[in-house]
Amino acid sequence: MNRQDKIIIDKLSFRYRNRPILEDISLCWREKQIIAVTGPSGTGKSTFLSLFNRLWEETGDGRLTGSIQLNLGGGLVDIYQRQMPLATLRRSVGMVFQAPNPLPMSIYKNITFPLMLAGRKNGEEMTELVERVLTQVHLFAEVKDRLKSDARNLSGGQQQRLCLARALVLEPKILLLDEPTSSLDQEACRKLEELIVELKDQCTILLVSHYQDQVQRTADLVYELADKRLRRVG
Amino acid sequence: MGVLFQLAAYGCGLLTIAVLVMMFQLGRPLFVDGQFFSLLSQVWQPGQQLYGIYPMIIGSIRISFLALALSFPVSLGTAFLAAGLAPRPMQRWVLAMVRLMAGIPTVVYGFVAIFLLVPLVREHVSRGSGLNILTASLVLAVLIAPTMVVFFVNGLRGVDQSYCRATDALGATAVQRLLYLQLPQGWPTIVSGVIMGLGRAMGDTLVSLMVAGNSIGVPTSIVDSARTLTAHIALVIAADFASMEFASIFACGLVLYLFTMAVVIGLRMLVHLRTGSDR
Repeated sequence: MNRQDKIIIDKLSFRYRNRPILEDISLCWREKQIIAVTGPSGTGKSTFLSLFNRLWEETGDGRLTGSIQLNLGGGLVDIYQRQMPLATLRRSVGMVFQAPNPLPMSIYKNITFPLMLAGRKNGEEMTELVERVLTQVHLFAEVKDRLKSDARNLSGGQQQRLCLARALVLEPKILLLDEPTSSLDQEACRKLEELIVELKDQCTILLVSHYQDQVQRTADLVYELADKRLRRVG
Repeated sequence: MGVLFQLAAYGCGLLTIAVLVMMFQLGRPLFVDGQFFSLLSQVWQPGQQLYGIYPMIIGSIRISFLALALSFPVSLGTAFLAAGLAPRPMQRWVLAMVRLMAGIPTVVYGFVAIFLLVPLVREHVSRGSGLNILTASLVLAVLIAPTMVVFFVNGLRGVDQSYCRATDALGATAVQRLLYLQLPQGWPTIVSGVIMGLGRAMGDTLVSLMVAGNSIGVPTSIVDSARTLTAHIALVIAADFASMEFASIFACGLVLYLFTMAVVIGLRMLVHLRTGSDR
């Protein structure tokens, strides 16, 4: 174990509806890296990602053995231990999904929503944070005049950047990106890739992607998920 | 197939309008000399040629709204449990029980109420017969709860799953997800449930007939006996189709119809306003 270790996976196996998805995975990743996971469709890449914020538990029917330890600021903690509050975990491990999923509210409220969930209500502080994260994802200039309009009216690329901003506003230590560019056009895809690389200084990023060229451009470590195991390929 | 569904929808709409037209047609004598409106403010004393339905209107409103007020929080709480707060096996169990309750015939509720609830109300709340607005409202509250719970659960569960996943991933607790996402998003269906519940409470005849006391006086408190419009329709026996007594039954029907329509429109407008201001 090293001081810089951010993620330690130990003998991790996962079954979904009695179907084995992952078997006996043990890995150790350092902080401030982009770790990409590729592989054919249906091998469980998204499921693998959902193990890090325990989002799979919302759908049930899964069974996990082994452990995942994350360093969320106060040293490594086993995220599957009983004392680990889910809300705290998910506020420290941000996630961006394959399809943009802005919430049915204004652009401004989409960003302040996670803050409100976390119990932060200072209006002035919130406005500053909204501007900061939207600027960080290069969206503020495009939406500054319509922050109160429905976020679902943005273009696909803008929506995905908004979702990224929403995940970043809580300053996560780890960011999970589940094929974040798969529903975007080439230009939007390029912008998001640049952003992902920029974010490396801020947090550790786990990226699931179909695109080999994308992972080669962005990732520090590349793994392939096949036959229920992760194999390093780059 | 689409045309068939459209025809079915238009057919339902036409049938609803046809019922209204029929009631106007059969109650036509009432509209001569404005008798309809005088019926709305008079009491029911057939011996003195007074066929007013004012006490029944008050009885119906008091019983149905009290039933709704009693049932709404319980139904919403049950729906919260069944739509996310309870563990999955318990959610299934709660919903199964609610559906079972919805299938129980009204007369069974009335029958049980006469033997269990009426003595309790008589003993602990009022000194009269125990057949009053409170008793009827309590039974109706139980009766309408399953309908409302099913609507509420559908509304809460019907929220786009991508929104739920996004909210969960942001660290929302189950309660926060319900309060800040599912409840505002499921609001239109929840209002539909309230409309259905109120409609059922206003339209139910048997429970009111069995446990409300059927008094023709104007009720002034919830422990007074009362007669509802529906119970009144069932109780009035008029052989002469041209008589005011017979026509007054249609006044009851019209009042029920128009009142329900006003409530539905009012609640729909509320939903529209809220949805519009939710940005």
